Amino acid sequence: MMTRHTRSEDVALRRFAMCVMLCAAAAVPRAQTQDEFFSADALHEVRLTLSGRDWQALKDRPEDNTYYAADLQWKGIVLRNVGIRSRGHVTRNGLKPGLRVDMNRYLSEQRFLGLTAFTLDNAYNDVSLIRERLTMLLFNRMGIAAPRETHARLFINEEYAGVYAIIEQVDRAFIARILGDAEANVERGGYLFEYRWVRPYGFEYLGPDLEPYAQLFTPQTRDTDSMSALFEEIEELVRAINETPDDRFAEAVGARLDLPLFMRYLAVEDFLSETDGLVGEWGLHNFYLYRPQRDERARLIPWDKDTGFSAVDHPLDYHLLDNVLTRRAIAISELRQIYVETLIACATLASAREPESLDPRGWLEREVDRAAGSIRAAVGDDPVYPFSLEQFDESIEWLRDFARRRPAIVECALGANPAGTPSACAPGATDAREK
Amino acid sequence: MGYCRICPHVVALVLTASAANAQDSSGVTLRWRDHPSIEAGAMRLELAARVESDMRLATPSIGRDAAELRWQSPRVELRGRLTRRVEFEVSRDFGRDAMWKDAYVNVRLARLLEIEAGRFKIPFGRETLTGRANLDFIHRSLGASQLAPSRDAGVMVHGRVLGRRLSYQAGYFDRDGDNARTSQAFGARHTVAVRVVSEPFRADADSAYGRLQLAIALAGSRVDRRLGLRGRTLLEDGVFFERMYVNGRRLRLGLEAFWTAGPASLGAEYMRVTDERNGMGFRGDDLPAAGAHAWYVAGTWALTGERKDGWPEPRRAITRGGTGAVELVARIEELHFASASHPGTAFDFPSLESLNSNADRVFTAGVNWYLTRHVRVQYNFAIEWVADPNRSPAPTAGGRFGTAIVRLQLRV
Repeated sequence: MMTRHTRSEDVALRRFAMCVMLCAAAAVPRAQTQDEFFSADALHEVRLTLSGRDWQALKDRPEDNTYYAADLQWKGIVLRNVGIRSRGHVTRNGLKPGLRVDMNRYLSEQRFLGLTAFTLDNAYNDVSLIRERLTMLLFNRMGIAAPRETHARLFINEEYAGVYAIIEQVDRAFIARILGDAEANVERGGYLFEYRWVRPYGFEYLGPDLEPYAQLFTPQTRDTDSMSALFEEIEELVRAINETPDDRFAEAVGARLDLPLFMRYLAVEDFLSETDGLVGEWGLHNFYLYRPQRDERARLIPWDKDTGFSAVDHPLDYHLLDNVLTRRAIAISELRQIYVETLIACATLASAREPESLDPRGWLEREVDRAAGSIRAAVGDDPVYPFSLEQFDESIEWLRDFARRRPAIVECALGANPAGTPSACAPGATDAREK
Repeated sequence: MGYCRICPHVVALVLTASAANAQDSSGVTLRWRDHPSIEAGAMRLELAARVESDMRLATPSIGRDAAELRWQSPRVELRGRLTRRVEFEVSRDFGRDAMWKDAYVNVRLARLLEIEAGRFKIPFGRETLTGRANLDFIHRSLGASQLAPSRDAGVMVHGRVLGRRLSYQAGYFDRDGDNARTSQAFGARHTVAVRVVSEPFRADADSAYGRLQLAIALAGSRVDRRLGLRGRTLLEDGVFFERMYVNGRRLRLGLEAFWTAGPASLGAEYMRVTDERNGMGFRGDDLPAAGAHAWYVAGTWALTGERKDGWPEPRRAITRGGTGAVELVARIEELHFASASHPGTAFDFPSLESLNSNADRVFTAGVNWYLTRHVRVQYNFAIEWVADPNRSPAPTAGGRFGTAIVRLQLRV
């Protein structure tokens, strides 16, 4: 038997239906994206919940890579049973542990916005906490694929655990983002290596045996493949760097390594006065090497850049001659030209004022202020920040000063002597390194 | 939702299904017993379909806090006989996981010799070779779903001798089956497989051992610097042993025993796989082979007394006012991956932990309720224990977790 509704009942029914739909819409969290997760527009809040005993064990033994199960929460998204472990090299500590968060450590299909992992970097040695974020930003603006990075307040078991940098992991998901899914294929994708510092090294040839290269380049993909598949091409690259005659250097090495990209990478590091990168104080350090599946030419991906902005008058030829590859590459006019042009592009971008604005600040200084402004209050509350807020402010002021003065110093140095020292262009700035 | 559109039709077909038989004046016979079929002379066509829905109950220890309802991909099969000697089958899954399943032609030259060509199951593993509608459990055992090869394109000779006391299958296949590959892993090539099945007491069918079946199967393939097999938990929530690159010969060995007596059955299988890793060391030296083995023992008992033969026909279907057939099932099993060595571990890749041996052990108990010969409800509860909790989906529960699942299966 059909029921007849009165007009008022119909209206009430419609309202009820509308209410149900609105409630349902409100209950379903809006789809979030990776871009929102790495957005620098706001300070994020990341929450990890795990057994108190596990958290204490992780802090007690920060040198261990033991994974612990935790629940991850960000903006209404909750992931159960993610794996977290201590991470870092010299920054590993039990007071404010750096963390790697793996979504699929225990649940093989689990992803977070398409990511399989990300890093929560304690930036323990960086008073400003933002050097790496600024460095990666400049790499990306210069067209060199680098991990995305922003900052978050981290809560462990609902207790504030400090300000951390959220860093995109350099892994298959990263490779898929920058080079497409085919490169990230599990079985036939490219080879991704993390450079592992064991001693000062600058691409000297280590002989035909593959073990010395395995000691330096740790496979992150295809890590159970045959040793020859993994390391023969690295051995050939290093041999070519060392043994190819000058007149064939660009061709022979360029067939195995994207040399123009390498020169741009080097220029960004040098512009930012990076002292622990390709030509830092201790030889090669802090990068990934990726050998694509469809292109024989390997490329570098920056990593762990928390030692930039070290000196406003940092010489452009600093340690350049100590590394076989940089020494031979810079001697080739076409490659040197790319290096110089990239330095000028960095300087131009860094000093670029906002169009139609009275703001005298250049792009880099504005980014310093934006990053520092977003985290300052959280740094003040950080229970395990190893410095004072005054030291934080001083460090930010250092970065501002670097951002203001470095472009002109680099341009001056390049104008006077493309491979010369900028100290002559920065009176009084010699050895001006942050204490 | 494609499933929902066809579900009412399938349900209607099932509910109205009854034995039907009609013959027109041209000699074409239409029948409907288990499936609709049409016969004209020697030619026969059968149409079969299957729809399933699974309700997986919450398992908080592996992060599943809520129950989950999922329609499995519906399958449609067309099979039959073209002439007295030529048979065929084509089947396809539709929906989310749309793919061709079987597509083959079988030529019956004699009882001793039949030739099958196309895409079908590689002869290895009794449970793998059993159709899904006739499985006693909702999920195949770990070995059947991960070590046995399943379907591939190839050609096979098969036949039986000694009055069915001995049968054989031997074939060549292009690759080594759906279970060995994924969308990103190729698997092996050039598989040669042989399976011999014996029913030694078949002549004395009334004896206690009359329906005892024993079998042995061997399959060899080649893997050319490809990823090997991996260990996944029963419902594929976690990977307890990651696949590694292998290079060389892949060898599978399978042993089977199956026995039925009235309403009860008992079955067991053992299988092992070894993958060579030739020339993968620093100086092109061979690495020790990688290996895995699996076994299970399973039993069933129809409480309502129906004779065990796949999907039993209920003596008193609910459409005739009865309660249907009720069957209890239980299975215990293990999938074990042996430790592997790798020269890279001297330099911290891959991690030693990931190469250590690991195993998944599962005990499954359940009830199958056959409402009619077209409708079945299955309930399975599985307790699973991964030996290394840190490579399990339940690290905080010592690698142990329970999973409950209910399946509604309709077939025509």
